[in-house]
Amino acid sequence: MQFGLSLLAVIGLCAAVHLAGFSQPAMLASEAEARALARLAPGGFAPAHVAMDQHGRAALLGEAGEGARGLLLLRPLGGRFVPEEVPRRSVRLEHGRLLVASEMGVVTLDIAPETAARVQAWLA
Amino acid sequence: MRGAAPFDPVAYAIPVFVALILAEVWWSRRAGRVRAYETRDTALSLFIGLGSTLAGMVSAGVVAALMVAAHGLAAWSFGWAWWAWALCFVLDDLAYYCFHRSAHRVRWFWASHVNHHSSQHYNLSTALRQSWTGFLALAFVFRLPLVCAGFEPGMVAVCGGFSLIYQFWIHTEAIGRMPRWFEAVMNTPSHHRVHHAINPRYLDRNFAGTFILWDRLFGTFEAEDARGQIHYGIVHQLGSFGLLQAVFHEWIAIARDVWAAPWRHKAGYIWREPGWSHDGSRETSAMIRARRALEE
Repeated sequence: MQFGLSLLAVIGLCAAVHLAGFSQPAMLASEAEARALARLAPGGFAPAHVAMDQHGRAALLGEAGEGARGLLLLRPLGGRFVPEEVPRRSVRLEHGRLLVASEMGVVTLDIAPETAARVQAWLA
Repeated sequence: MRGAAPFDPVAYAIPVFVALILAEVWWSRRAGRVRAYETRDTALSLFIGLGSTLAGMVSAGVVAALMVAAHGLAAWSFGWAWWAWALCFVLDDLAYYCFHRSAHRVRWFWASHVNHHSSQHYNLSTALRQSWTGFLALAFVFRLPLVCAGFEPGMVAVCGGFSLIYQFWIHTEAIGRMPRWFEAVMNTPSHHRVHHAINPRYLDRNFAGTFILWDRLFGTFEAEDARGQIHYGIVHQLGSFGLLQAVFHEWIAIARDVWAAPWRHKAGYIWREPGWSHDGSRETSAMIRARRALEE
């Protein structure tokens, strides 16, 4: 009885949260925000390069210099971002879009033309 | 009253929990905080909470039997006097502090407690993200000294229930700071936001349940800096809304690490702090704090 009521309450609360419009996708406001999130990644990523989706839906970051690790993808999960280190070979640049193979599938970054040129340089 | 079945205050508090979550949802919407909640995150928190009540029911009998047996070893019993309730609540909160600090410093305990920290959101639904594997992680051990010292097992259980109820309301961003005297003595939303943060300076801070005094006393207190943004969750974010992954991921990670480690280091992956590795390839929270301090 108590379990049944609790289950009903759970379903009701989830419906209330959804109906109240709380299923907003994650959104990066700026490169500075992407850099700040990257610094919180395990191991403390020190981003020198940032390629951000034009709508703030994801970002790809790279370190510079000797000892630079792979790349860090900030992929959306619900209303937040999850940092995921990805190897360079998992990144493709196609028709002005960055396609990054992540643990949860391919993440597409719609990047500006000038960003695409920069990305080609730091991925090389 | 010896042997009487204790009432469970948490069961009576559930309707209040539901009402307060609805109120926070309404407030967040009105305040334009469109990312305060996320439907799948909330669903995961609530289903973990529901599952934890079932898991608790499975182990409750064994825990109660152990508590009664341990109480039998006590040289005396305080009985049910009013002052015993007050003393029991305070000492139970100290026991909670010890449990909670251990839950962040010993990976075996962390594997159970990590559930509660796995949300990247911080709202009242996060409070209900409780462990399914507390019994396996031996969480009840921390309350045994109370019954051995003479407190009634039922009293300890009820005090623990009220402590859990108290800790519900502090999981919110809707409340900034409480009055200064209250912030000095009690655990508050501000203090507990620090505890759930992954910002390096906040890692492994503010372990208190009800009274923040324990953190001030034992040197683990950190005040919230209103100027900086808090990021919530765990250092290695879960990256999924999968229920079973959320509940068991750290246990699976321990099993993998123990399997792969050289024999002399296997135990370290169980009893050392989260993030410890025998080859230094990972970071503990102390290492993260030290690195960030150097960077700054």
